[in-house]
Amino acid sequence: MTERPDAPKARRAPPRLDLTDVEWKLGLGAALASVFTAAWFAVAQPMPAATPPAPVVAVVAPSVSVARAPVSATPARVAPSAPPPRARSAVTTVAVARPRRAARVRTRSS
Amino acid sequence: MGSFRAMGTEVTVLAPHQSERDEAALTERVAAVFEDAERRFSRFRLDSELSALNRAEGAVRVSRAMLDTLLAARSFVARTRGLFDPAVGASLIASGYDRSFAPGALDRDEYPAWPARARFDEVQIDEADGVVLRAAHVKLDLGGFVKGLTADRAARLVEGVAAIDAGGDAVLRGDGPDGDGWLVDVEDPADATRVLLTLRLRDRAVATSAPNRRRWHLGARAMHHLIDPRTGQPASTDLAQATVVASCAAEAEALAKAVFVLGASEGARFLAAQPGCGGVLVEGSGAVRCVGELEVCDA
Repeated sequence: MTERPDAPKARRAPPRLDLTDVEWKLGLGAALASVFTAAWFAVAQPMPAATPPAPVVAVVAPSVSVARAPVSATPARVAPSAPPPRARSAVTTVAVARPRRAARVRTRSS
Repeated sequence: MGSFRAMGTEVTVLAPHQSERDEAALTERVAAVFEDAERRFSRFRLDSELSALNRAEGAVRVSRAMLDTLLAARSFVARTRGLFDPAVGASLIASGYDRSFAPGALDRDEYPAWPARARFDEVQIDEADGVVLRAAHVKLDLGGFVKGLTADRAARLVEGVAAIDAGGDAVLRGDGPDGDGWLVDVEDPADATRVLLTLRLRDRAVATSAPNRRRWHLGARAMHHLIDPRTGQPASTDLAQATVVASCAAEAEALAKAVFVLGASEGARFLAAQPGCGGVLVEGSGAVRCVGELEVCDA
């Protein structure tokens, strides 16, 4: 049979994309992207708002002046005190009476 | 034993036959006596009565305590013929000792103009009215003398055996802790950790004059606090230390100053002539001489 020149050619089926694989890939990609996005918002710390630098505050320690303690009716030296209370820990502190210093005088220039 | 700080030094109170509680109470009373004295007689306190007296122009009515102290000082000025003289305040200030001593605190780069020499005789004391008239150039320094006087005054608070040691000016009441007297170690002025000898004293007082603990520099010149009243300058002697034993701390203090200024030979002669007194003189060479009837025991 001879092909008639004016006979329409048999229409070929348009190329068919094989989406099977693509769909799978796209779907996987979308899933991964959603997981990643969710993870990002769950883990990432919010960016701090920009704040101006804190002003420098000079911390001036109180001057340690060796002021003479006023010698009042209760001068600052050790008076006989009660033994310390027992510690609650496993180690028990026992107060030991200190021997009195030998009564001896030493000359020195005045 | 109780202790506290006063007059720039450590004051120790020993009452070996008393309970710790009573000794502590005694220490408080002694501390109050020293505080009162320092408030009145310190030339480093601008609000002290002594500072006010040193600033005053014209005659000033003074307190009974000040009057008594000035009269006591005057008696020792006479006894030592001016070798002890509280009118050295201006010289002390010029020498750099214008504040409470601390190592390095008095050092200066320059040597100042020196003040005119002053004498306690230039202070007029009206005993009846309690009025004092000081010549303008006279500044009084009662430091060591008041320390001794205060130790004596504090000792009167004590009954029985006790010792009050105010930075070396010590009053030793009674026969000591064991009835064998009080042991007094005489420090080596060249090495404060060493003891030269030990004295055994009963009902005596002791004071020491030595420049070793208060030294500083004005420019290249070495200074110390023991002013020779005859020159108004730091004393230049062959003595490194003069320890005097006397009936009370004020007497020991005044005589120690006089002996130091005089030097080893003259100082020993002068001290030997003082009734009821003795001492230990240490020369710059290290030689030690004991004067008077002193019991020296093994350290």
